[in-house]
Amino acid sequence: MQKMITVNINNQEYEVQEDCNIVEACDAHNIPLQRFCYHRYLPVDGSCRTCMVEIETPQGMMVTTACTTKVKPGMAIYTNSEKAVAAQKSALEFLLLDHPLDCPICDKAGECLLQDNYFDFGRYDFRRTVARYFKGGKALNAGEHIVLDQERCILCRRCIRFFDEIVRTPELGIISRGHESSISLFPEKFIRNPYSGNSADICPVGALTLKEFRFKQRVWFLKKTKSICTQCARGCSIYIEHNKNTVWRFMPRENPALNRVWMCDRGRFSFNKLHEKRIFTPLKHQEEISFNQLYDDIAELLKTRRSGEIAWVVGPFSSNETYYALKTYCGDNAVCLMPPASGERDDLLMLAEEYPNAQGATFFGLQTETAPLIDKIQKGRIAALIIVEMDLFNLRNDSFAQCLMENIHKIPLKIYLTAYRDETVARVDYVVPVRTYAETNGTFINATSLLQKACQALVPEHPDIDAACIALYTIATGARKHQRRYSDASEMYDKLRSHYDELRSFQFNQIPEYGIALNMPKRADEPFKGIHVDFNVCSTAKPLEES
Amino acid sequence: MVKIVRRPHLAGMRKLYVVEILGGLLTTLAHVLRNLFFPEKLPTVFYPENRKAIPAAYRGRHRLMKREDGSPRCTACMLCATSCPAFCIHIQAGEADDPFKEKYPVDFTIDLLRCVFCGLCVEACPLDAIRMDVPLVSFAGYRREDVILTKEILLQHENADYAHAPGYNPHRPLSVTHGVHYINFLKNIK
Repeated sequence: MQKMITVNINNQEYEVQEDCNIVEACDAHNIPLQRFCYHRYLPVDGSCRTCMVEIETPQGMMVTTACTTKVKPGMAIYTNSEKAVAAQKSALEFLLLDHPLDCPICDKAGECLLQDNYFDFGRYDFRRTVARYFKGGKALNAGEHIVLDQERCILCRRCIRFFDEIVRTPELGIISRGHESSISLFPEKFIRNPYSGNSADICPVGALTLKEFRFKQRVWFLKKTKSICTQCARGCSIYIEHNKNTVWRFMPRENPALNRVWMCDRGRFSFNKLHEKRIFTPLKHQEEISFNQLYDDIAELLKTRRSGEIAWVVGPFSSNETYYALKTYCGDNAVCLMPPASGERDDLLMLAEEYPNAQGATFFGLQTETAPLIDKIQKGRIAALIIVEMDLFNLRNDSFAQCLMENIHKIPLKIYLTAYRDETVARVDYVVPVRTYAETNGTFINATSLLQKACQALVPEHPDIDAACIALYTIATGARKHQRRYSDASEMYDKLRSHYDELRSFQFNQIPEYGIALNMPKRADEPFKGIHVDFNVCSTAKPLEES
Repeated sequence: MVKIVRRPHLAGMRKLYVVEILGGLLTTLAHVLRNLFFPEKLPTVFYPENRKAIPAAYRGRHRLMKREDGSPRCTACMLCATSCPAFCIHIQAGEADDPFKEKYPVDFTIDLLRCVFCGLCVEACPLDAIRMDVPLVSFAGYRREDVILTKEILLQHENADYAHAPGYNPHRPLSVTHGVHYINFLKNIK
């Protein structure tokens, strides 16, 4: 914990953290101050000159930039004095001077800092007397995901600093001098790093936009739901941004302990998968049946079998609630398969394990040893196999999947709980459609043992489609719909938390935004290993609204 | 303020209501004779053969304006859809070939069944791309599809139904519909 000091902002005393800059001090106490180049997780640049404040110094009153000035005990700061406001307004006027007013076309409109700041701090009378200088360079292809518009750029250098200091692949730069200076790629080079999507997030205007989101939706239509990314074991905090029951983009959500405000392109552009190859109707031998018939059939078939004959196979893709349901209602034959970690990895965020919840399976003590089950299958002692949310027949080089392929005829009943129409669907007897993680509440534990919640963003296509944990509970207990103990997955969480000391004090809606750090061995190093990313973080900081 | 209207007091000959009825018939007869001998003074018109000129500020059905090259002026900024209180405008944006145009509406649909004809979309449009000045008085249909306007219908300015409507000029300047003050306002913001 850092030392707190008292400063005087606009004739009022405030407690702020020692060594933080004036912008952070103002943000911590909700004092409005505009900024473009300043970003909490980027090194200070001081190039936009819009965060001007007036401070008292031994030499008298002085107008200076708030982002480059650290607070000192007893400092007097004025953000709304006559001189400070004049400096802020004139700096802002210069930014808009050559900026095209193509807000109706621009994708950033609605979350654009230039729009927001101009409404709050700008001057509305038009004072230009010379012809406007056109920079050109509209809608340039700047890489696999990025479109560059040189005319809209206000030269805040956020993207340049992000690529230089955090991803460490200098790919953008400012060329030319004076009013001709513009942001540019190197000749015949493109942005190729795996974090390029972040540059469009931090761009305060619409100079960098995402090809995947361009013109799809206006941002003011989007609803934000707090969730997590499930593309690797890192489990970055994200917002699912959706409208009309469709996900339009993923945006990183600030989490000072985990991903800061960044996320990788692999996770960011995985949002399309939520709507591809979905399955909405139950299948019996590849023919569509009703939900009532499905649960009746399964209850009838499982009733005649002893619990030792039923095997449950789950992957590290499910939520904690599903593991809890498996552990509690489904007996001892539940096994969690760990597919090989074959993805791309680096020191920033990406991990090789392309599944979100391997730690959850460990936390709930699910068996990961497959040898006993393989043995039973080979001897024909398994009468029913229930696969939960895992494309088992698509696994290559896995001993269990190999064994299953060879001995598939020895298992008379195979049930598959899935949200997607994948390879396994064609090879099982019953398919139970379940919800994706965006359609239900759930909790996940990431590789660094942080338990986070993923809230429900979308409404499922059919009201009878259940979350995997509730479908499992129904199958395992044979409960009819009106007999069910849970109507939502968050109720399953509220049940399970009473068994664990670390979770007991948090109901589902009380789980902190930044997650609960669990005391268990970690599967991976902390993110940003050996890379300085917390440039301007102070303990009193409020969550960033914009990123 | 309340004004009380009392029944007229009838007395004498007027109490015999046969006289009053004859007076009424006389009025009707006067109208019949006037319409017979002076048809040009008729207050009604023979719609739809004859139509009255519709005032310039009449707020009617929507249409989409065009650029000089014939492409829609709309850039799919969605401000009309945002301001619409009935949620009847559905736009799908797409990437245009020209980087200076950048965005254009792939699909632009107005559901007239939902539209409340408030005119907020016209006010919200920053590009004068949508106007509500089609001189049609009746555009009812027999099927739902008849009153769901597609981009093609909205871009049609020379429809046979109203091309020859008196006083209609599809290229009429903004000053006619919006008034001179609005034009001066536009000039001032440059």
